[in-house]
Amino acid sequence: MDAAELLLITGLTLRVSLTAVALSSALGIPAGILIATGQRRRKALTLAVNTAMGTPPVLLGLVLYLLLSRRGPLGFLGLLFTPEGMILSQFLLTLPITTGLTISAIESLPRETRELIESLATRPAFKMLLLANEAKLQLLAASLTALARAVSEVGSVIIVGGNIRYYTRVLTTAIVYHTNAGEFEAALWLGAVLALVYLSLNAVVLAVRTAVMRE
Amino acid sequence: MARVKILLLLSALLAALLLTAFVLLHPAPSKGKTLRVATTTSLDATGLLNVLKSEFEKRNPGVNVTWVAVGTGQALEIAKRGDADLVLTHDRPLENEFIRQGYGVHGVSFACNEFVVVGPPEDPAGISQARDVVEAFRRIAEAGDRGLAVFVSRGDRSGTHMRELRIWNETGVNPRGKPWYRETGQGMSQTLMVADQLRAYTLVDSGTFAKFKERVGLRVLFRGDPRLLNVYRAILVNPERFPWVNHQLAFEFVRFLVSPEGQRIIAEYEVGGVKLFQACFGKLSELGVHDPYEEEQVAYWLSQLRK
Repeated sequence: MDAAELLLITGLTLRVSLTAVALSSALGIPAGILIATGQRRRKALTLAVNTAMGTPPVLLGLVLYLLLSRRGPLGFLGLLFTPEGMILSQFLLTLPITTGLTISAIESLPRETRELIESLATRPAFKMLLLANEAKLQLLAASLTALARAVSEVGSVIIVGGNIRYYTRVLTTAIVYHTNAGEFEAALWLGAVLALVYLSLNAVVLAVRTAVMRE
Repeated sequence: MARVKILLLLSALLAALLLTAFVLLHPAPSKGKTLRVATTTSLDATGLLNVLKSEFEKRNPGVNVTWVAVGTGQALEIAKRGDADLVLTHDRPLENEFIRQGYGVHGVSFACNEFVVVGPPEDPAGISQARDVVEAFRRIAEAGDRGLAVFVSRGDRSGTHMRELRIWNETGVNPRGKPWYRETGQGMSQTLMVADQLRAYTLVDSGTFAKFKERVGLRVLFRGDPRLLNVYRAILVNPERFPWVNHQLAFEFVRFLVSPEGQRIIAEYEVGGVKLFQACFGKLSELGVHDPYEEEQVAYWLSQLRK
């Protein structure tokens, strides 16, 4: 493996996990706020979301494989063994995480704050924005947790992506590949790159957090 | 203040949308130019497929050869669902069934080597003195029953695993569930490493073993039985059954494999000074395999090469 391939693998890892988490945050955070503030079926929905947080990635990978395969119901999309298919799998995997952590973030806001917002905001969209603003640090942490899961996950992306060299091989599946091939040194280097990637993502989030706190 | 927040959130949302658009519009390799191969692991692990890929892409600019490297059984299953354009596998009975059921067309053998039985250099079961591979396996079973030997099996319906099961079948021993019989359910290289750690015997294709022998303390202890001939075959996925497959490119790739140029690359491919494969397009009867279907297909591909 040369530097160009390593760059390709790292780039794909970032593209897949950042896109998936951007999407799952965009959907999961509003959904979490809705569930946390909703009156009906709040407990049942929270239970469902929290259960989904524990979905084994390999199971999700298998289900997606069968759905996305050309003979499967979504086969016409041609997403099996593609980066887009991997994004879908990481999106579904992290959606319960962003949703679930948002629910607990909103629920842990002080009662007075929530009541004040309830009385202030007339339109639901405005209420949602105010709540999100109050819990912004926890919501940032929720997205970061989802990102950690997406970057380090291997079970579903190896099934859905197929670990195709130069095309769907990400850092974790590359580690699997080189470990299987007995090339432990290459595998360890890839592990170091993975750690570095996550460290830099964390540093960015820390910077954002500091900026938000100062405000 | 609230207005600023809303603006911030809106811009964040916009950024997310842009990112999505970027990803969805990201130039995926165009459909007509990508070949998707489901291949047995050994062609990938030995590095041969990578060499064939670059040579083929050099001759056909803009083309992209991609593959998933899995066991033969799984490769055929992937193709049976229409998720590959071409399979490269090495188990004749499974392949024959695949072709008979109408999933594959124009299957042709393009490379071969042999399976070998490897194990710890002390050879506790004494298989190096066996007359044939059936006796070698029987000796492993006997030594295993006495607690002297362990056999590691792929256990994954790969070509190697299927071959191993057929040899056990000939010995009359059913190894399933015996304490000396361990199934890894994983690829060849991993199985070799497990066998190395357990000081165990295992069956392996000579190509993968040549690539790995520096990294494991295992030795070739038995070879040379005609039952151990290992033939790699390319089969096009039937375009009538799966209209979306890239039949044209799969056809071109196989034509390249069986061409004098492709056969030369296969025959000359070496790792650490050792040649790993024999080119065997049209030579199967010389190797003792008599298959009317194969002869028919060799004639077909020869006629395609002349064009």
